[in-house]
Amino acid sequence: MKINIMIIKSEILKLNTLIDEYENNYLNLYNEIKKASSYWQDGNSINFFNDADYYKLKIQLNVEEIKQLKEVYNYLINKYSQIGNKITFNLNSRTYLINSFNSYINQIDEIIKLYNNLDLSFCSYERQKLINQRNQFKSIKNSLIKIKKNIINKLEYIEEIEKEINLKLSKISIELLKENNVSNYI
Amino acid sequence: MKSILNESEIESSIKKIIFYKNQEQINFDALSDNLNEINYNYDTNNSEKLYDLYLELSNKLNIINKIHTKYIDVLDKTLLKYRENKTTVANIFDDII
Repeated sequence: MKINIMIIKSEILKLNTLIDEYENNYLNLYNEIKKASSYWQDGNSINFFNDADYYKLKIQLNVEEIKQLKEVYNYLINKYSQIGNKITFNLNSRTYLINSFNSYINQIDEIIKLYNNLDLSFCSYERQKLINQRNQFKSIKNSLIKIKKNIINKLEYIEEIEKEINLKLSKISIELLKENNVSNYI
Repeated sequence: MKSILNESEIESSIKKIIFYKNQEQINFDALSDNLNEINYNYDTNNSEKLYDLYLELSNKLNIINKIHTKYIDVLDKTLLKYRENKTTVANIFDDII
C-alpha cells in the first residue's frame, strides 16, 4: 500500500471548490433554461422543458454522489493523518516482519540466558562488565518488543481504516444516466 | 397575435447556456483530473473499487455535458426554424398583397 496524505489533502481542498463550481454552473444553466420557457411556448417546448426538469434532478443527485465520495476521502485523511504524511508498506509482508521481530527477540533471549548461566563469583571486575552487557541486551529486547507492539497496533489500525473505507465505498452507488433524445422537440 | 417564440430573448438565453455549458466542460475536466489524482495517491486494496467509481462518475459527467449540448442544439434549431417560417409567412403575405 502507498498513501500520500499531503497530496490527497491538497486535492480534497480543490475538490471542495470544484463541487461548488459544479453546483453553481448547473443551477445557472437550468435557471436560464427555466427563463427560456417563458419565451418559447408550443407543443414541443412543453416536452423540452419537462425533459430539462427531469435532468436537473438527475444532476442534483450526481452532485450528492460526488459529495459522498468526498466524505470517504475526508475520512481516510482524518484517519491516516494520525499515522503520518506518507505511508508505504507491503501488507503481504506483515507476517514475515512480525516473525523476524520474534526471531530477534528470541535470539536476544538466548543470549541473556547465556549471561545468566555464567558463574561470575570469581571475577568481580569482569562481573560488572558482563552484567552491564546483559542489561544492555535486556534493554534492546524491551525496545524490540515495544517496536513490534507498535507495528502490530499500526497495522491493525490500518486494517480497520481500510475495512471502514470498503464499507463506505460499498454504500455509494452512481446512478446510471441515459442520454436523452431531444431531437423530437424541434 | 401573440408570438410563440421571443427571438431576442431565446437568442440571449442560448448564448448564456453556451457560456455555462463551456464552464461546465472545464469544471468536469478538472473534476476528472482531481479524482484521478486522489486515486493515484491512494494505493490500497480499495483502489479498484475507487477506480470503478471514478470511471462511472467520469462517464456520467460526459453524458451530462452531451445532454446540455443537445439542449443548445434544440434551442438553436428551434430559433432557426422559427425565423425561416416567419420569412416564409411574410413572403406569402407579400405575394397575396
